[in-house]
Amino acid sequence: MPGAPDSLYIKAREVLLDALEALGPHRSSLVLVGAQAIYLHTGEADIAVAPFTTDADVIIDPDGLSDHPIIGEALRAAGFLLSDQPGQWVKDDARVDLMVPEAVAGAGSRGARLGPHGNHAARKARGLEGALVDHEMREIVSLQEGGRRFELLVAGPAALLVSKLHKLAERIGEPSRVRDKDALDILRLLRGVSTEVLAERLRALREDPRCATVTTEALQHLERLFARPEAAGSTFASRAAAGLEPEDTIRASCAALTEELLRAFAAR
Amino acid sequence: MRNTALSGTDEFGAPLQLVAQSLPPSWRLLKTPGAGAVSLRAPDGTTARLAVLGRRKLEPKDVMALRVASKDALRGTLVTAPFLSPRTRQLLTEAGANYADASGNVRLAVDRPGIFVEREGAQKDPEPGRGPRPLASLKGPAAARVVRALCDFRPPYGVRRLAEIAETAPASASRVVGLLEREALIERGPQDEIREVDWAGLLQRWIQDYQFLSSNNVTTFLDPRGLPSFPTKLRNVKTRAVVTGSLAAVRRAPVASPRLAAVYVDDPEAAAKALALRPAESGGNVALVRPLDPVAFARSWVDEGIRYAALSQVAADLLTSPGRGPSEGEELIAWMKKNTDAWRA
Repeated sequence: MPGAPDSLYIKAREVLLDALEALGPHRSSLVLVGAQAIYLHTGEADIAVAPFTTDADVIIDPDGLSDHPIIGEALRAAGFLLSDQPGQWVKDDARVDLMVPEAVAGAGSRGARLGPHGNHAARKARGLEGALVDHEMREIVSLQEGGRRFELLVAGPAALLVSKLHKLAERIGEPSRVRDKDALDILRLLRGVSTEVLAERLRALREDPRCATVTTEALQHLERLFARPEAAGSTFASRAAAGLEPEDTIRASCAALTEELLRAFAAR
Repeated sequence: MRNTALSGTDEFGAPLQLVAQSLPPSWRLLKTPGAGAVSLRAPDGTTARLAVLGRRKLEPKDVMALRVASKDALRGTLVTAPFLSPRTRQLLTEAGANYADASGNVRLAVDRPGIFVEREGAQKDPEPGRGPRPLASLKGPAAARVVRALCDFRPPYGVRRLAEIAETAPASASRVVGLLEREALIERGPQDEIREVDWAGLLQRWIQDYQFLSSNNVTTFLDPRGLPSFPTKLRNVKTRAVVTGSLAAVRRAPVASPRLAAVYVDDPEAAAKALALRPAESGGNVALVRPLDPVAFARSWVDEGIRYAALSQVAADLLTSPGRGPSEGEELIAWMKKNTDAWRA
């Protein structure tokens, strides 16, 4: 994304900052995941596709989450509305999705069980467990001059890779532009982060009981979807980058970096 | 007096037959009585008379002489020869002359009656042995050095001095200069010194014999991390590496974002290892090039820690590259024409 970020992207960042401000003391229990977290690691100019995401994905670590303020009340007071889906908070056409990794989300099928915060403030999601382990403190800064800034945990590249692979595997049958973009986000991570760092952090995820299973599954998805130039994930990524890089280059890059990562992961 | 339509075997020869065949239906090419002219008749009966200048051989430098002899009034002439080279045709077009050769190269541009015909025939002389001088070529390392020196250094200088700056034998420099003089790409002064170089024309002439992909030794690799991060690796690499192609042109001319990095190196295999590139079966995005001659490294320049080939080299490489290369080469040459001081010593 060369030059100035577009206005939608600036607004999405403001809405995320609104939510972080409203959630006050809960901020230390939150981890930013999803595309906004990926761009923090890879930069936005690596593959020149304007990130058109206007939603922010945030997970809540229920372990140590305090009872006050009540999440729903705080967000409503800041102008957010809950959509028909648990955890999907909307303001000014931008979205903040609050999620709890399935492994720590308690019983129930969709809404996460969060005690006094109820069953609708956040929803359960599979594949995000790694963000509980692989994360680092970053500053989330307004894209407007002189705007707000908050410190927030941001999921690390290995956790993001695992979650994107789960998302892609779930969406594999849906013909959608979103799915192609998920595949390109995976390539962004493979390209933007050194193979050694990714492999080491993936090994750490595999050793934590909260995320060992999703990590092993994610690596199986990676091999199935990206290890060959003609595999489905490589194809999706090449489509999302159409017109910017030759299709064959994207396909070959997916296969080469996947092979490199799987080999480095297995090396110890 | 009557005009006769051209037909069958004719004393005007093959070139005029081709002109007659190139006309739209119901246009006619007619012999006019007396020698050395034809007339062109439109369907409405209007005619134009064209003086025919038939030559057994016509080289680029001869066009200059023709221009002078006709006091720049070549517009009403039709020049014919067994073969006209691309450079000869270009000069004839610039002089406003019509032409035809026996291989099928035809250009006819007449205002009244209005007609424009252009046909391409052979690009190389089908019977090269015909003329008194064998046509030399600009293939090979010595020609590359001399061409690059003539582009990169402003005259005046003598052939001996040129040989020095081109780091080549005076005899080779002299042979190349002889060819370029015949092709009217350089002008000599009274002391036989080189006084003027048409560097843009020279580049066009060079690429008839020099081709980026076939003259050099090119191996394509994949940088799976993509081109945006490739320059960072180049900055840190210890071996000699000089960037050419779009990645170099984009520093100067308006060129779309590059898709292939092309880099001159001494040893492609070793450089690939140092740059963490993989052999590419398909989808390669980095070409490592062992050059025809070390002149490809000469007079390179550094921008933000990366070394780029001289623009004359970059332009010739782009003009002979596939895809968008040739149009990017033209963009670069347009920039070079406007900014001669920025690159020509």
